[in-house]
Amino acid sequence: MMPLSLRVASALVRGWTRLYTLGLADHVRGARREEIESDLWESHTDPERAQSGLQLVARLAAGLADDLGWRFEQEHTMSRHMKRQMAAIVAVALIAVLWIALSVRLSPRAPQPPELPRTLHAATFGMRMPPPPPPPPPRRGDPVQPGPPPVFAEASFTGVDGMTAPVRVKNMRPVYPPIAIAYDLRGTVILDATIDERGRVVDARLVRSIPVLDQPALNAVRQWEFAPTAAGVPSRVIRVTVVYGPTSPRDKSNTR
Amino acid sequence: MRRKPGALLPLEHAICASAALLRRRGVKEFHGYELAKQVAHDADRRLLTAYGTLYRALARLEQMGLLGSRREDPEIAARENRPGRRLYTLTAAGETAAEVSSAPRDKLRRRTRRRVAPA
Repeated sequence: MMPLSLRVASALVRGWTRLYTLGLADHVRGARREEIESDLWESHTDPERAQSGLQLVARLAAGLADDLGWRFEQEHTMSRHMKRQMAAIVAVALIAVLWIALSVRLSPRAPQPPELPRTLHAATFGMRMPPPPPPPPPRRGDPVQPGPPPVFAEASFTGVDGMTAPVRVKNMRPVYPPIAIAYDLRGTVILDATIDERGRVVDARLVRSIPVLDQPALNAVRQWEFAPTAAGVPSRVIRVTVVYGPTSPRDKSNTR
Repeated sequence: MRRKPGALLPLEHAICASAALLRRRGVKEFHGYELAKQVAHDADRRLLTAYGTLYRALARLEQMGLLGSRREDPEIAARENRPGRRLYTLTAAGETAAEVSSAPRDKLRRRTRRRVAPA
């Protein structure tokens, strides 16, 4: 029967070994615990060198610093291993990112819609924004780039309050702004135009407004001219309907 | 203890020398306790090397290639109803280190004797 002091000392050695090997890799922890257990067993069964409990405790206490040092070395080894793994993962991720970036750069780009100007954005969403800076003036000698053929909106007019529509002698079709085409802005702008006795449009007032499409309609209608009225009729009002839609004709002629 | 480059610590010298001695006696493989006992015997000490100090030094010597080790066959341990042992062997490099290390150790012993001896 083992003396109590020896049993207590052995329990201390086992407990400490379990403590400082906690959290280490299974094989490292298992090997160290097995080795200490074997050492304890050998010392208990050694007939040549019987050890007291006090000697075991002294043997334990003298090696505490080395136990902790060994533990630190094991953790350091583990962290180096983990660092290597992390470096490998980062390298693979970098290669993947580079590969994706290169493949995107080399592939042909899909046509992108033009960026929505700030003024258009503001007009569409009812915000007041400062006007955009003017485009730089063209330099002398710069070749003039021919743009795409303009697209026009359909405009029609009728008399107001039962009056017969006057005869138009000069037409100007509203331009469908390219930016509105790009963003597929459609709709109908309605305005009332006042015509004086000489047949000129002296006033134009919006009845139904679409912010981006108003101005081209007003610009066009203000250039219209009508046949002069008979003597004694001061002015007439017509209602103009301008339709911006997918069927708007693409034509160079603006006075059709 | 700070190690000089290319040099062994005194405990490492002692372990190699004790292992060499065991080998000369025909013990080719030895476990930790056996080594600790031999080291204490050679140094004429009553207390065995501390657990932490001994097994850390053994691990270092194994890393240096001066010792080799293997886990004992679990069947043998089970048959003898005891925990499994880790069995160490002295490598050729370890044997060389033991021979080289014996000189300074003897010198140290002589110096210690001179101090202890009465004038």
